[in-house]
Amino acid sequence: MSGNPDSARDFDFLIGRWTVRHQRLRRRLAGDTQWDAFDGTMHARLILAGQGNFDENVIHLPTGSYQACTLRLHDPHTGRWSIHWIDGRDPKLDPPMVGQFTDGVGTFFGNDSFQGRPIRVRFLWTRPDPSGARWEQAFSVDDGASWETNWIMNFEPAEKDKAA
Amino acid sequence: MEWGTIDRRLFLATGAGAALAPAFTHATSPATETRSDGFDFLLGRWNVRHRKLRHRLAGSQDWQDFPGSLNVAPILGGLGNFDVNRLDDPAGAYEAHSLRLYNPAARTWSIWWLDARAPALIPPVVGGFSGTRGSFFADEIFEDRPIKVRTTYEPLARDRAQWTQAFSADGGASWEVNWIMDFRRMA
Repeated sequence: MSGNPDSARDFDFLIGRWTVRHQRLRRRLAGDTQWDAFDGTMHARLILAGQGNFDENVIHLPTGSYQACTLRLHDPHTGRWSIHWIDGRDPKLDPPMVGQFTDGVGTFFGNDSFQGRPIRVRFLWTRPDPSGARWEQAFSVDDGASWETNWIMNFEPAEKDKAA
Repeated sequence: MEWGTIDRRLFLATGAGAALAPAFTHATSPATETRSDGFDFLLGRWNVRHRKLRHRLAGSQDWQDFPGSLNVAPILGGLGNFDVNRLDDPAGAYEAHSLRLYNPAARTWSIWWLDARAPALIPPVVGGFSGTRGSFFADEIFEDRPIKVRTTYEPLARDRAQWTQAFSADGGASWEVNWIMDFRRMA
C-alpha cells in the first residue's frame, strides 16, 4: 500500500494556537445525556521536519485544570497517522490511535478498555468552518457497530493567531 | 576552544557509569534520587558538539565530529520535557526530538528519541538519577543480536552538560560508548 504523497500535510491546519471549547459526556457508556462544558487552550507545532506534530493542551475541567500533550507521527509508507495522547495527570505514552484523512475527514481507531471491558475508540477530525476545527471521541462496545460520542473539542483560533 | 580530540578521561568517566547499570536494569526499580526536576538543568538552548562512532560494536576508533543545536522546553507542568535537535550530520542535516516523561509512582524517567529520517516510535530508555547523573537503559536489537543501550546525562558546569550513548553486547558487563553530545549553553 502506498500513501497519498500529500498526507504528511493533513494536520497542517492544526498548527498554531487555539482556544478550545470542550463538551464532555458526564458518564460514559451509561446512556447518559448530560454534558459538561469547559474551556481550554491548545498549541500545536510541526516536528520532525513536517513528518509529525506535537501539541500542548491546558484543559480546565470543572474539577480542576490539567495538562495533556499529543504526539502525532506520519508514516510516509502508508500515509497513516499514529496519534499518542499523554495525560499530564499520569504521564505516559498511550498506545496510538491510527488512521488517515479521507475527503477532509480524519478517522482514527484504537483499542482500549473501559471499566474492565474491551472497547474500540474512534477519533474524528473535521473542519466545520475554514477557520476552525473539531475533534470528537467515541467509544464502541460492539466492535464498531455502534458508537457513543463522549468528548467534543471545538477549536477556534486564539486571538493572537486571528490577527496574523 | 576546548574541543579536543577524544579524551580518555571521558571514557573512564562513562565506564565508571556502568557500575550504575544494575540499579536500573528493571524499569520499575525506583531511583531514590530521581525526581521530576532531574532534567531542569537541561532546559534551554544549547550548542552541541556531536562525536559519533562510525561503526558500532566493531572495535572501531573512527569518530565523526559535527555540530548541532538543542532546545529543551518543559511540558505537562514540569512532569516532562520535549526538545528540538538540529544535527548537522555530514551525511545530511536532520531534525530529531526527545520526549522525556517522569513517572511519579515509579520515580523513573522514560525517554523516547524521534528521528525525522525514520519518524517512528521506538521503545524508550528508562532510568533515573544518581546524584546529578542520569542513566537510562533499554533492550534493543542491533544487527540481529540483542544488546543493551545506555544513555547518560550529566551537568558538568553551569553552562555545560554531556550526553552519552553506549551499547553492550554482553548483558551490561561491558559498554562501548558510540555517541557523545557536549552541550554548551547559548549566550
